[in-house]
Amino acid sequence: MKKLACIFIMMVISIFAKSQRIIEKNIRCQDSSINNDIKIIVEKNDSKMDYMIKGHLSTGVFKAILYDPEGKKEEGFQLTADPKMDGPRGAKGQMSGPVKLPLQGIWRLHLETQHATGELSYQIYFNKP
Amino acid sequence: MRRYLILSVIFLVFYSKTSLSQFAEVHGNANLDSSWAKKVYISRISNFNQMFTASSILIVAQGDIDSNGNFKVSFPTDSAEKLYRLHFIKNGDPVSTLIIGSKDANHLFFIASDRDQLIYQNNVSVNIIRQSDIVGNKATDELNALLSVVHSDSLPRDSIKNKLIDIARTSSSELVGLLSIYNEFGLNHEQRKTLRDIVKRFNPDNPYAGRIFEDYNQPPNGWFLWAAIIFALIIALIAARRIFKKKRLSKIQQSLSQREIKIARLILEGKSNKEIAMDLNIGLSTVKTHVNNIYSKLKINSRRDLQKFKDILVESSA
Repeated sequence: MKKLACIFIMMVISIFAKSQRIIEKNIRCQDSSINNDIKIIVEKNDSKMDYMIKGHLSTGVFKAILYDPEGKKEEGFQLTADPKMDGPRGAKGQMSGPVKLPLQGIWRLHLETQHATGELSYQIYFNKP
Repeated sequence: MRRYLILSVIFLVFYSKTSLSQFAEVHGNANLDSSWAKKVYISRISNFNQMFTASSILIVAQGDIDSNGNFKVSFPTDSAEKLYRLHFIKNGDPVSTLIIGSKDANHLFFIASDRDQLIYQNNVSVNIIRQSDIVGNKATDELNALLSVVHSDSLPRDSIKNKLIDIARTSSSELVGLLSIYNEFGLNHEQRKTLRDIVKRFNPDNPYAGRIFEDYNQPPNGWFLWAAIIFALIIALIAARRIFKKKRLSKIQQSLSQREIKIARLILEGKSNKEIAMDLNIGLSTVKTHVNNIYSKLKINSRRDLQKFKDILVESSA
């Protein structure tokens, strides 16, 4: 009986692992200026894409824009943190959302910082049917 | 002189009081739980690129939310429509916090001018801040309709493009019309052409116009390219014709003597051999010899054929 339960759990885990794909990264910035385009490949069977892009800066500028394969801006935000005006709390931003039946092809996550100090992160989950 | 100075000062004070110090107001009820701070913030969005920018520089007013969730915030406006953003923050979050996402959004946009009174009313669900919950003027109603199209998950892409064109064409608010064009994407040639016509109804000096007029007032690149090619071809043809004429002229000048050129020109003037002989004070037979030489050198058979060389021979005499 125990053996059967173990096999069942293993099967569920393996099915779940196959049906979900994750792209994620945490970035810690210290007066950093970056200009990166992250390519996100959406495959034919990806039925849903969930994204979450976060930023929390004490100083500097952070820009995040998500573009679909046709170059249409899906979402974007910008943080501008000035210690004189914002104090130690800085500026915080987050964009998230599900994209049902995302366009197949190469999506682009544009991340840009200017003299940014703080933390940025992105997570993109894909679900297959 | 002193009187004029006093009058000018009074005018300036009066002008600044009436035109610059206008205040609009947003009031309403925020249906938020205790995880949210009891504050509401209004940011002035001076251009569309700032719509999703979190920065305390943009905040123009803030207000307190009472224990019942009611709030009232006044903020400076002027006579022209401007875009504003209202946002709430959670306890412990920075003032400049912007959350974008269907359920977690902490903000909404509205348009105000003069002494507008806007109302925010969320009676439906706790902690959900929806764009459609703000009303109070026609421009904001149009903005709500536009943003529901822009963020629609259910509409097909082509339908979104066409709806945005329709809004740009019909909106009574110029700001909404411009924002509609700003949100356009992946347009085909016909759609761009339509928008170029629509753009004409807006004021190019509108601070929200940004690059919209530059983008849509330019003739299409294809048109430009063709015009440049045709122009270059015309110039090349004129230059080639001149070079060809010069070459022919130098060829004729090399092959004909000065006397033959003179006689050829007199023939072109319509003079007979006899008249030419009299004009040049030479014998008729000499003229005939010269005419025969001209014919054989130019490979022609008659005076009529000589007309082909008229522009070259006449030009060389000028």
